[in-house]
Amino acid sequence: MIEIIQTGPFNTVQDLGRPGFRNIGVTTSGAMDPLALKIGNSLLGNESGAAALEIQTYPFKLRFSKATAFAVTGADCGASIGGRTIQPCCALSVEAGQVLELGQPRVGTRAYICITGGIDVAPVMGSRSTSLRGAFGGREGRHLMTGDTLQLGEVSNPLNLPAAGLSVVDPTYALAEVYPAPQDGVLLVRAIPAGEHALFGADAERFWSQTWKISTQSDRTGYRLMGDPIKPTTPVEMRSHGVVSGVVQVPPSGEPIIQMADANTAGGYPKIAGVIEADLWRLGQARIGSRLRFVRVTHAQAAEVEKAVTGFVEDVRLTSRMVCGALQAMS
Amino acid sequence: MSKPDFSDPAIVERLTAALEAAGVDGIEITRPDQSLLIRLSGSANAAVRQLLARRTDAEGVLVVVKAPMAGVFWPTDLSRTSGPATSAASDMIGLLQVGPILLPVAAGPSQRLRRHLVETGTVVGFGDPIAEVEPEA
Repeated sequence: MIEIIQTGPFNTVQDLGRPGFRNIGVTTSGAMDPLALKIGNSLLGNESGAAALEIQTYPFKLRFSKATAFAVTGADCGASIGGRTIQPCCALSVEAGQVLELGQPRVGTRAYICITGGIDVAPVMGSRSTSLRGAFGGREGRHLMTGDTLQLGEVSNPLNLPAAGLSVVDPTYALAEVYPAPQDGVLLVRAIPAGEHALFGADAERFWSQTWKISTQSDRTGYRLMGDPIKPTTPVEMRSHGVVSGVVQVPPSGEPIIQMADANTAGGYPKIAGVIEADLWRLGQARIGSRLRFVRVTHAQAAEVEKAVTGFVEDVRLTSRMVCGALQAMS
Repeated sequence: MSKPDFSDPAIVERLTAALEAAGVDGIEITRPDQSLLIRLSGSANAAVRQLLARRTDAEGVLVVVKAPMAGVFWPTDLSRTSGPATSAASDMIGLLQVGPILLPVAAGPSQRLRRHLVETGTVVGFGDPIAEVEPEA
C-alpha cells in the first residue's frame, strides 16, 4: 500500500487507457506519456500497461507502507527517497515507511511513478485509468488527494533488483535515430495529412512551415496552439464525426487543437492532420509555452518509428530481467 | 620473515616476470595493510602491465571497486544532458551500460571516489577494476 502525503491537483492513476468505447462516448484516457509508463513497468518486471501515478503538479510526496520497488520515469523531477537523490528513470527497492518526493521537473512535465505490481484500483471497462471528465476509473474517478491510500497489485515473478538500483538509458538518446532533436528549442512533431487537409489550400503549407506555441489552454484533453491562423479556402460546415488522440483540428479561429489522451470522442471541426502515435509522448512531455513544428511523414515512416519504440521497450524488459538474474547468479 | 612491500617496483617487477614465465594472466594479493593487482594483457611481442599497488597511509586504505558484471563503463549518465539532472547519488562512481539498461555502481558505505581506472566507453568484464575509492573525509 502507498499513502499520498502531498499532492497538487490533476495527479491521477493512469494505465494505457480504455480503447474500444469511443462509439458510446467514452474517451480513451491513459498516460499522456505512454512510453514512460511502459519503460517504468518493463524495468520493474510489471506488465507494460500496469497502472501508475501520473504526476503533473508538484511537489508530490508519498509513503510506501510495505517493502516494494518503484521507478520514476518521464519528467526528470529530481526524485529523492528518504531525502537521498535518485538517478532519473531508476528502479529501486524501498523499505516500508520510506518517503518518495518529487520536485519541480527540470526536463519534461509529467512523471510516472510505477510500482511493482502496479496500482490496484478497480478496473472500469478494462482499464484503471482515471477519466476526470467522466468522473470514473482510477481513485473514485477523481484526482489524488492528500491522505489517499492505494493498494498495490501482486506480481508472480518479481525482479531481484541490485541495491544501487537499475536505470534506463534516456529513450531520447537511445532512439535518437528515429526521434529528431529539437531545432532551436522547437519540438518536431510528425504528422500525416488528414481528411480535410486539401480544404486549406495554400494555408495548409503554412500549417507545416510555421512554428506553433502551446497555449495555456492546454490539458489532458487537448493542446490549443497559437500562431498565424490558417483557414479553409471556403467555410466548411461538417457533421460531427469520430476523433481520436493525435487528431489536429482547426476551429474557426484558425489556431489548431491537438486532441490528447482525454480526447473528445467526436467533433465537427475540419481535421488538417493526425500526429503519429509514436510522437504523442513527446507532446505529453512538452511544456505550456514551448514551441513545436509539424513535420509531414507517411504512414510507412510512422510505422517504422513505432517499430523502433516497441523494440526499445521490449529490450528494456528483457535486459532488465537478464541483468538482475546475472547479478544474482554471480553474487 | 618480514612482509614484502608491494609498492616496491623491484618486487612488482619480479612478480610480473614470474607470472609471464608461468603464462598466468594476472594476480591479486590482498592483506590488511596493502593490496596489489597485476594484470597482463599480452600481444605477440610484448606484455602490457597494469599495476595497482596501494598502501595504508594516514588517510586510510584505498579499495578497488570491480565491475559486478560485463558492460560498457560510463562515469555518469551520458544519455541525459540536462546538467543537474545527471547528478547521481553522491556515492555513485559510475554506471555499466548493458543495452538499454544502466547499472549504477556504488562506492560502498562511507566511501568516495578517488579515481576511475577505466576510460569512458570501455568494455569491462566481470571483476575488472573500474575505480579506486577511499574513506570519506
